[in-house]
Amino acid sequence: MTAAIRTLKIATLLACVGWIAPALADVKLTTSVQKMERVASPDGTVGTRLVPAENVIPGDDVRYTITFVNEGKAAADAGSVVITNPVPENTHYIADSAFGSGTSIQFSVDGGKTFHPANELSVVRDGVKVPAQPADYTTIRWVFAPALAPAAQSYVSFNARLE
Amino acid sequence: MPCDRSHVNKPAKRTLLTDFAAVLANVLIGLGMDSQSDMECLAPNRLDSRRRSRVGLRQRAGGSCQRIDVVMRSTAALTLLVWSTCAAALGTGAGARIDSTAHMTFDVAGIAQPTVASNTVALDVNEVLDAVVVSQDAAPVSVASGATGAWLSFSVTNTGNGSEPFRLVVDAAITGDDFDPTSPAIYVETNGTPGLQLGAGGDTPYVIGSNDPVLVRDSSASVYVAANIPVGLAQGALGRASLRAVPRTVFVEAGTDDPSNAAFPVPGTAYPGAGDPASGGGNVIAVVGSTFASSTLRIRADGAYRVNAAVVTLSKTVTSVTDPAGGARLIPGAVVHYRIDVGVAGSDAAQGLVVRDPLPADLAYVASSLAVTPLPAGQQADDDFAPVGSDNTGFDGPNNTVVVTLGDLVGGSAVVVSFIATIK
Repeated sequence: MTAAIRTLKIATLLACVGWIAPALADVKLTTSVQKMERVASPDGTVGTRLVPAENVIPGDDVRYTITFVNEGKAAADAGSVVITNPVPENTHYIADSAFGSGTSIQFSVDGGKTFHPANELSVVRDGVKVPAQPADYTTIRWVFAPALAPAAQSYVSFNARLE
Repeated sequence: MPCDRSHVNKPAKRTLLTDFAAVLANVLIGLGMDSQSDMECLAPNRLDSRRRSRVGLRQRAGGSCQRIDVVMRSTAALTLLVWSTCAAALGTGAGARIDSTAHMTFDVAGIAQPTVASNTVALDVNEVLDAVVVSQDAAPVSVASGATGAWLSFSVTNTGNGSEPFRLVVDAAITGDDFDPTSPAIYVETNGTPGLQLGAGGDTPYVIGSNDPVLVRDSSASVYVAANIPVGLAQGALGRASLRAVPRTVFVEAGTDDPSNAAFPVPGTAYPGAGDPASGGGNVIAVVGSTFASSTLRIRADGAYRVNAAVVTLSKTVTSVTDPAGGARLIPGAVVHYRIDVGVAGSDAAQGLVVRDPLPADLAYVASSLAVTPLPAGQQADDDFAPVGSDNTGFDGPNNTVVVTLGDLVGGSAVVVSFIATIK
């Protein structure tokens, strides 16, 4: 408390003498989740629609959407913006469902220690190294290529199935 | 803001890893670290996320048990060793909470900025009400007309994801069969001996609503239906009885346990707040599962009785007589060839079949003359006769009797027995 007041005083003092603090990139990250309800169309195909995830049971598919916006005054550097999201407990990742405009998407099968594109991942099963399955993924990573300018916003998403 | 410990002790998540996260948080708190820095006081899911990335492990449902070595580096250079025991559950348990949080890292002008965490979204897993009943009899149970207490075997499995009491209902008045078993009663396997045992130390009679078996998810109970068989039934008559298992929640919410009642629920029917109270704090939605689909209705299964349809026929003939003078007169010294035809008609097996032919005192069995075609496995058509053991076919000298043990013969079987005797 004392330190905070002291900091405030210093900040006020600096402001009074016209010192300008360096502009910051103030990024807000928001996660939302919706259930993917299967809907049969009149033409016989089965599509999905997103509904509030209030009523989920094992076997349901859900979509996680992570939106981000730069509310600050400085841009985040191109290539430096990285979003990570563990595949939630009791779910598994649905193949090819990760999306992110302008991002390269990588996955981890070791809890986020290392990341690789989907086709380069392998796991050891029964002592044999085999290509990783989507259910093996523990973490998803999106690397956003462009800079995130002030006021810029975007989103990434992935689907998971409840076990 | 002081470090809030309540979030790390949140009971909703019950995995080893969450416990581990709680350990981590408590250790950090125990080390006296204050809440000012990003490291020491993390929101629970952020902690969860960091723990993941740091220790690099993940527990998958349905996986085999595995040893997990956790080496964690923190400011206090901790090393923890954790053993995992994991159940092979088919579905996430009712009441489980699934959290997810995203993180972002980025640089500004080449300088790494503090990691940004998103809000945490939670999914509450509802209870699925599902049951699968399967007949455990490989074929209709063979019964005699007039039999009492003949029993059928079933398994009842809770394929939902909560702990649930099940109402068991038997229906013996099924159309499309030949007779209705009478006085059906239900027993639940309780004494550990497979099959139905009655009386003291036997299996417990089931009383609906009173001792409904409570099954945790993915567990099964063996259930028996005992019934009486009417008298005067024809050979081969078939009588069915069905057993259904209805989660008590369905009965309470829908007011019926009868699938033919219009109020009986269809898959997807949701009962807010009716979920397994043992999990999720009593505020879990219960959802009727796919085993209630009327087209397949897997909560119910049929068993069947069939009146014993094995009819045994015996036919004994004399195939030739040769007297000492070369004729065919039945005089002392004449040699008589006998043949016995054994037949089994019907669709069931005749079990434990033994043919005995006591010879009159005036006849003497001719050694080594017995022949059996086809000879059942384990039998020898020689003269030695042992009343016990595997070879119970031969000549029982003291009783002057030919004995042929045929065992189980399925419908359509035919066996020819032949031997020779002489007239004394």
